[in-house]
Amino acid sequence: MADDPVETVPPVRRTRLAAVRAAAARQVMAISWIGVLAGIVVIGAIATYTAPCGCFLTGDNLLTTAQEFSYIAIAALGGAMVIMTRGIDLSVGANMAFTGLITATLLSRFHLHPVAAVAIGLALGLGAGLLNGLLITVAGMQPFIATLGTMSVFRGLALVYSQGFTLYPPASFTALGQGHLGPIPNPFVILVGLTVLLSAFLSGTALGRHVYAVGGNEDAARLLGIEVERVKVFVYVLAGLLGAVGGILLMSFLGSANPGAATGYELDVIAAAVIGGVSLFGGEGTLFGTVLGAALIQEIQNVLLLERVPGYWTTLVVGLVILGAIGVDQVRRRLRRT
Amino acid sequence: MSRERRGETGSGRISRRDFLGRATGAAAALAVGGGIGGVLAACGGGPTVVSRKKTYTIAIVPKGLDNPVFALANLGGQVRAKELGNVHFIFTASSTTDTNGDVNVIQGLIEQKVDAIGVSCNDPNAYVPVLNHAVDSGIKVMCWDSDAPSSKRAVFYGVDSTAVGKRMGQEITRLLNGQGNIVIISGDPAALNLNQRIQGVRSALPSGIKVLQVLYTNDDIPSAIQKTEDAIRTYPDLNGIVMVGGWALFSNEGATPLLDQKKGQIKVVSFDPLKSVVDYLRDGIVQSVWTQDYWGWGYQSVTILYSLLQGNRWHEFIPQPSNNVTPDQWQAWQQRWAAVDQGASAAAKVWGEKPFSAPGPSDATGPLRG
Repeated sequence: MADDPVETVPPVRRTRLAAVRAAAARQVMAISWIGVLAGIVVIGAIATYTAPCGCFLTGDNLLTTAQEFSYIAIAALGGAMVIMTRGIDLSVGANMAFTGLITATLLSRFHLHPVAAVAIGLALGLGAGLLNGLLITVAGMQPFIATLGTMSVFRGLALVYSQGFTLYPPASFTALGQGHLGPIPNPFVILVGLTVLLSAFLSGTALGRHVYAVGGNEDAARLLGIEVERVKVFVYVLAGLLGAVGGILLMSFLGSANPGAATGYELDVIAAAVIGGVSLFGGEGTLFGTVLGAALIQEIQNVLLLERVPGYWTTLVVGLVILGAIGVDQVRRRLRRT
Repeated sequence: MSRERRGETGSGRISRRDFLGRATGAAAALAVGGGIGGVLAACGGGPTVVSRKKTYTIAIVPKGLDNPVFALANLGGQVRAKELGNVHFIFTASSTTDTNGDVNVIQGLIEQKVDAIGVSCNDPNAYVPVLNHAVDSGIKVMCWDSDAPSSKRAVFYGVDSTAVGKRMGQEITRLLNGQGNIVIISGDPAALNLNQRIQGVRSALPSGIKVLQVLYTNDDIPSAIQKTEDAIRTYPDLNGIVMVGGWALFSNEGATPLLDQKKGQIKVVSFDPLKSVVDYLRDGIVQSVWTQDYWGWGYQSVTILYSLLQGNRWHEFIPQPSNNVTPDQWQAWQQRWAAVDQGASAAAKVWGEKPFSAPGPSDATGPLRG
């Protein structure tokens, strides 16, 4: 450090230069999703000029890609808030399959009105989240263990209920997931709406700010009079509800409900949040970043196909990009601290 | 228009299958205790006859429980057990396809001292020790759907994946008149049967047909849809798609708009005519779908294992038919799936088969095993 050439700059100039530089760096680096946004833009630019079909930057391609990541991104909004409180929700993929399955049969077997069927499906997701929240707060289980257990419970319920068969909602119900608002696919419209709403909630309400406070320092939050347990239950309930929204939309889009649907999506949800700048240590991150994280994962898969890369490579490249995004995040944090 | 018609097919009250299914329960132990009670009660007559015979416990283990084609094997097995009368039928596996999980399930069945086990092996080698352990413990063992040929299992009832792939390759060649560009869509890149089907497809293609890309969907329906649609977007000169696993079609037509648009321009050969696939056939989006003997995986496997327990000997290889379902057969297949919604006995009326008898049907090969 003592040998640093900066040391030779006259003291006054040095401080001013450093101050300007630090301020600029701080401004950019304070944005937790800056890395992932840069990634999306760079990969998009490369694909625009190099994809042989010349079809990356077309409305058709971008809109279907947006549609495809919406389900995971909606679930990830809840997953991100759980991670902000220093928790984790491994049950969300199973929750998506279970709520989609039940909603489909409420429609096709019991002929419920779509609004009623969706309401019950959402209530089930909410109940699933409540169960997670109570296991973690009242029963005092580790979030990882509690939601690992409920992941199997929800997946198991879906299997027992369906007996392994794929179930189908009435074809009319696909209008929800397959429909468009103008040119924009419905699931993406819902994703954008929920992101705006929940971001406003996180930054604009006391309960929202408590989510960060609990994750940042639980003991301090408790000393400040925040009802930590209540905040935690709340985020798991919200995660369960958002999982159900994603699950029902996915089922509606596919027009089918399989008990094995959304297997492994819980990991995609965590990846989206972490890539988007949500810290696994809690207290940090944004929902906008999380959505960008989900978008980046989907963009990579889309671009690899458009670039005609052999299928075996996809998983490897996604893994490397996740590591790259986290690496950028580490650098960002370090820069911000200095 | 077509979609409205579709909407009606899924309807119905809580079916008998559900009731029976719940009685059969999730856990194997419960299935033995509760399910058979239900089946016997449903039989109504002749408990005295049943009680005099020895009751055999026969377990069928699919690769995973979350796959509808295996759910049909469950119904087929239940129906055969009921016909035979003195069979406790267990249908169990890990919830999703998982080699290690299935090996543990089989280990548990050996400890329960079941009389016979029929397994669909997810990997030809990983199952060898546990299957041999079962045979050494005096349990009759066969494989169905996917074989473990180096194990001591007696019989394999299944299809030659390379041969089916070859027939799929011949079919796309015929549909394209020997000229054109295709992509192949698969599931798990490490799945042996899928890789054999791909190998078969490639071996049948003439030099005029070029495989542009092989895409892997990891058995995930949304991913399969995305890859199929992206492939159509990427290759404007695409003439055909061979789906060695049909995940992209296990949805509703509306989920694959580009594929629907290219109806007739892009020929599609796929695998497993599930309920949703029947719509694609009806509407001419898909030209050829290859079947397996889903019902027979349960029905004939219970038949063979029961017969082995009686001391009969069977040929080692019993070939399973794989048929090409073409668009003109869509109605028959729609009826088949509608029957499944009505429960096991209604399904038996349309899916039902004649039980094989020892030493196997006329196309069976290999040495006699007992």
